[in-house]
Amino acid sequence: MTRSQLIIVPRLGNKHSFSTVLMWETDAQTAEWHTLRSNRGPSIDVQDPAANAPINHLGSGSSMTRSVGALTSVNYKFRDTYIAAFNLRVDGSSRFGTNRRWGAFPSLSLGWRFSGEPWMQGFEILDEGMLSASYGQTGREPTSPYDRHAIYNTANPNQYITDPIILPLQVQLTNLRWQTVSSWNLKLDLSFFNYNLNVTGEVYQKLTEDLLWRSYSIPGSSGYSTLKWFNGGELFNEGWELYMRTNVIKRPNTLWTLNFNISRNINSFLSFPENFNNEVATTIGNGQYPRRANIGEPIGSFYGFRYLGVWPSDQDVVALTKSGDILRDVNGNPVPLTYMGTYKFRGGDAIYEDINHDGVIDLFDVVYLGDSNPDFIGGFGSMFRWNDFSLTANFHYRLGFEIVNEVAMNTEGMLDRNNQSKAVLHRWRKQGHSEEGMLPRAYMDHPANNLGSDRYVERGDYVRLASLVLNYKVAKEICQRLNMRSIDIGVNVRRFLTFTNYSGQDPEIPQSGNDPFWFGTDKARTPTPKSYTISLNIGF
Amino acid sequence: MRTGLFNRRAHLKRSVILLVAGMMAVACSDWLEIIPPDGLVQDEYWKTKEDVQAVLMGAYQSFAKLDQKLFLYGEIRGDLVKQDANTAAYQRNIMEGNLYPENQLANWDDFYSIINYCNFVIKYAPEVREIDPTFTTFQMQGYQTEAIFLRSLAYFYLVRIFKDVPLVLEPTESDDVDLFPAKSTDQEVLSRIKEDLINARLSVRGDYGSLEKNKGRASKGAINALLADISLWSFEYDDCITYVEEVEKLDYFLMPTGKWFEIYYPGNSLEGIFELQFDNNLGQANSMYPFTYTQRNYLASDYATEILSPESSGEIIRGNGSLRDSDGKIWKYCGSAPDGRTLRSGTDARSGNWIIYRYADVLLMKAEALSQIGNYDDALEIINKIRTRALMDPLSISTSQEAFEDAILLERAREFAFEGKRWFDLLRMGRRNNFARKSKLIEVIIEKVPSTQKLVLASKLSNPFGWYFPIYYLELEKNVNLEQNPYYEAFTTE
Repeated sequence: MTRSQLIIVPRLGNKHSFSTVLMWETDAQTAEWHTLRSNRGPSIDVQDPAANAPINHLGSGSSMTRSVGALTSVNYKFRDTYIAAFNLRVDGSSRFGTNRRWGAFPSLSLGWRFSGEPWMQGFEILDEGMLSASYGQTGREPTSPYDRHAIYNTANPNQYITDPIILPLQVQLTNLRWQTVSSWNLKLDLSFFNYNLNVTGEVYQKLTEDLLWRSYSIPGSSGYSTLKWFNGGELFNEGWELYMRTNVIKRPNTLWTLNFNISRNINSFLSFPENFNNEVATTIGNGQYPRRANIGEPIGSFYGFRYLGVWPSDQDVVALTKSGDILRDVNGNPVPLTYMGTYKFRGGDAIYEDINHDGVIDLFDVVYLGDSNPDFIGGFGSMFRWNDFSLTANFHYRLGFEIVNEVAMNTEGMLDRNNQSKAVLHRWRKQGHSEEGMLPRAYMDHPANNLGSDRYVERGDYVRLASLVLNYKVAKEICQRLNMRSIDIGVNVRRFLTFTNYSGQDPEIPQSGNDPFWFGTDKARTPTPKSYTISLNIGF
Repeated sequence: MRTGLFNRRAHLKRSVILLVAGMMAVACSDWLEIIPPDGLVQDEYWKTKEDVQAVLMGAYQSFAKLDQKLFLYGEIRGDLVKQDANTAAYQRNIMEGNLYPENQLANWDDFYSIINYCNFVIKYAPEVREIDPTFTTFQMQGYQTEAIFLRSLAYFYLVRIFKDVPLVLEPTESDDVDLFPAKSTDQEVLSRIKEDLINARLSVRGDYGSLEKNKGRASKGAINALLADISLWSFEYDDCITYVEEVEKLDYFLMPTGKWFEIYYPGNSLEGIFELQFDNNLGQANSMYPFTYTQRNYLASDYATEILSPESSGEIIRGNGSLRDSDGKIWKYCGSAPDGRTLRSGTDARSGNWIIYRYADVLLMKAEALSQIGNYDDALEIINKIRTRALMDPLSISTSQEAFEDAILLERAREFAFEGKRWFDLLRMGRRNNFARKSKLIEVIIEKVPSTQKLVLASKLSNPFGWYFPIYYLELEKNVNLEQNPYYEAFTTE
């Protein structure tokens, strides 16, 4: 990588300051690799793959990428009160085809430190006040070097009869281009009471255009299953954030600080790629939630049946009309309640709400069940220091979101021979059996007892003690007596307390930013561990 | 003084920007053009006739890799095979009439990748002809004809399996092409491939230099056999007879009685017209040997045993060659010549070809066409020729279309058992004369299921759309322009 910079800083007197930077950089990266794998070695301690074990894989490869970037930046400040900066970055990358190689990404920021204005000098309680706004664009390129090319290579077997074979293995990407993110924000920083109270508020919006999709599925009628990359669709994020920090006690030997922050982010698709199917896996069945994505609606909504309990007996199973009467056919006979018109529900089966009152539980009875995006995310904490002791506690929280508890789904379904949880002891057992909260009957390969429904949807709200740190600094005199510079003794506890009503292991489900079909399911991922650390730091 | 200096700096800045812009425009675009070290890219390919041939060979090899699938499509919905210990669940579902869009055999991707390779050859062969002086027009048309043959064969399978399918005739060479085609009707697809084959058939090469290549690549015989098959499927009997007569002019013969099993082992017999080639010594092993022998997927059905077992039917030649009487194993891919009774061994065990067309097949196509237009004498002569070859007594059949249809269907079952033809033969009968014999087809199919399932399956099959596969659910999700086969719409929703 080479980088050349030209920096110009003219002197413009005391009130103005101005600087400009021109930068030019080129970057070339090459990689080469060789792999050698073997198995059936004499011992796991003999790790050299060439030592005595049969080698079953040999591989090698190389790759190269190049990029070129130019940046120009202009900064201007007047009286330390008005601040402006402008940047323009132009990038070119070998990962794109000839026509789509270059991207230009400008950004502009403006700041007004209004506490520096002469007319603000009367406001004693305000120490610092600044309002800033910015707009900027950034670009994202594919990660792998050669994906835009149609690559022809050999196949296995590499001959037909005795003639060699070469096949076109991937589709040329002539439309591959930069993904651009344009964002703007507005931010207010305030400090009061001799800097003892700091408040920061921010609102932002972010628009992602030409969204880059990796391994974008295309119909098999093309002869391929995916395009390596595909640009399409627009993703929109907006939100706000508030941060506060205050010193409750500030004395020479004692300091107590509290902090709090809260934020909200909503992301949704403004448009999908052309020909994008916004309903995938629309099939219903045990363990399945139909997946949908809607333009303008937040990512993370999920859909399914409404679960209403268990039918106590065969006679109780009825299909009802909208007004609550028994649904009858043209001859006046009651219409049996079925799953997809094929399976007739019986005692002990799960009750699903027949939303359209047609006597059939099918895709038309699927409704909105919840949203995996928290309404609020944030944290709060406290730091207390007294002489040589300090105690710090930090919490974080997510509020207002739902989780699909897939673990419960797998361990309470009673459809197969897999182990089940203790919850299944409390299930329907005989005709007429009716108990509060009992589970449906155990029935091997039942077609409909474990459909994706709100039976497994739970509130995920939680507050978690992220860390608690107790620290003691041994006094200087003692250290000196021991010929040491400093001694610190600390106890650090992480994630050892969680307050939640969620029944699964861990309500902290990983979020996904750009999968339109994502929703939060608890798959019993190994939770982040609790940890306890006792430390002793000695400086000589 | 200071302003002067500043001006000079500004001037310097401007020249730097101009310099930078100039460099970027000229030098960088070349510097950023990087080509992968492995493999070839589109711009480098399609330069020589060898390039054209290599992709064409890939299309053949991809078709050969489908041998086991061609067996599944052609047999498991029919009545000649039954499940064995290791039949895969998705295949069992099909046999029991529980075929849904999630079934992996509904995935047509393999056929379309062959079609795509063929489309590349058809499009680029003329361009290579412009560049490569050693590439003659005659050679170029030969390669194009082979590609057209393979593409038509792939579409003929697709139409028989799925009915209406997207008709893709251009290669997917970049993300600029239409990746989301809608379906064309089976009639549109059939008339297109028939027209392509008629236009191309005169350009096919006569000799590829070896027996394997002459049997394993497109030939005059193969193209006419495919045309005859397509015509018969479309009930265009005169056309069918014409194309079979074209085949009859060529050097194909029915194998003599004592050498009947040589059709399968070693293969490439005088009777073979088009056989997907396998040779384990060249690293091209078939999957039918392990599939029917070691893996215990399928056995001959009771019906197949009844019509073929030497004991119950007197079929010495075809019975011994088609199934092993002691345990019902399907034997065409396991036995070795001369009589087929011993097991194949060594590396050649997996070298048996997958036969798409052989002479007996086109002759019986002709018999079927003849009988449908009322020429019963000639039809009977062909049937009895096939029977005599197998040491069976000649038949006498009452002169009605129906009687002949039944006799030919039975004869084809005996001659081509387990060769991936049965289901399509049944379907042809069921579709004929506006589904006149629908009930006969249903009767044949439900014969093999347990009595408790017969009624359910019969009612399912009363809708002829149910005779075809659903479109695979993933394909339907990926292509918004596709519509599910109406029979399966209850199982997928829009």
